[in-house]
Amino acid sequence: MEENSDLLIKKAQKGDMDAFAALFEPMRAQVLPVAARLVGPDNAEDVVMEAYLRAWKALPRFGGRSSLKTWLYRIVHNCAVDMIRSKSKGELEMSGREGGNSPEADIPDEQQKPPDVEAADRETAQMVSVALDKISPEHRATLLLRYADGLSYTEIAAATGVSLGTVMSRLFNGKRRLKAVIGSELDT
Amino acid sequence: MSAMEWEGIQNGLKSRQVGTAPGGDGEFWREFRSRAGQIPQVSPPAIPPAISRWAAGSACVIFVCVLAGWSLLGRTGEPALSRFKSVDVKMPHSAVLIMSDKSSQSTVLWVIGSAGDGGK
Repeated sequence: MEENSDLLIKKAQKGDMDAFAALFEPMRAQVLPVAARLVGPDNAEDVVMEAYLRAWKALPRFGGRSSLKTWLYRIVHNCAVDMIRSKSKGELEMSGREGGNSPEADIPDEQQKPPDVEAADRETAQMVSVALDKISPEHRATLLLRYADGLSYTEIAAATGVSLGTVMSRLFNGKRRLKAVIGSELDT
Repeated sequence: MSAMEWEGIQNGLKSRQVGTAPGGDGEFWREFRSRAGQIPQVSPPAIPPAISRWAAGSACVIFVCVLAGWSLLGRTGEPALSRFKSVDVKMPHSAVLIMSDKSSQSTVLWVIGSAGDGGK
């Protein structure tokens, strides 16, 4: 598999668009939610397209120092930042908010749960959702990229443009703050 | 409920997955191909990164070795051609000074004459 992707990288580096599509199509579903976290769902597709075009242009210089996915996350981050800069700040915000998605609507289809468990899950999701709005955008985005989107620490670092150490500290402090906010909500 | 375990919070976070699914891949890649066709790829670096890293690493090692050798020799080695085994001064003198100057790696022999005629 790795040998196959190495071959595809070499071909794509020499201008083979089919090889490029074969390499990057599987990653599209993974980078799109990240782009949506950074610029909102309405602009996510544009950011991904721009990122793929930049990746195409720069691929011959890809040296394999990081994984291709991490490299792509970094490009997506740069494209998102460029878009945010080019548009008005009020319109776009790197907040980790996905906008328009009610937590209830997003709960993935699982096996049918008893009504009381389902109700408790909904309540928890609602509480987490409210608490997320009360922590900083950086902590919120990092927590969501990790726990909702399942990115690795390295991928989060690439997607948010910060160091690995910063990702770790944001996760640690974000969890602490989220717990504290939820705790205070429960006490009231 | 007075406290919520991290596991519960994590489940709450999972429920915040962005409900964004990529659009039809046919449409995406059609647009990509039409736009990418107008973008030339950058040329690869003249020296492959692996080789340039290896070369830079080797250069660093050589530099450190040379530096270490030079400082070690400078600390222990005396200038070979300016070492005095014995001094025999035929002229009248009051003192002989032998001074080593490490910065210029030289040794200075200073013969001080009798009182009144300064140093010679």
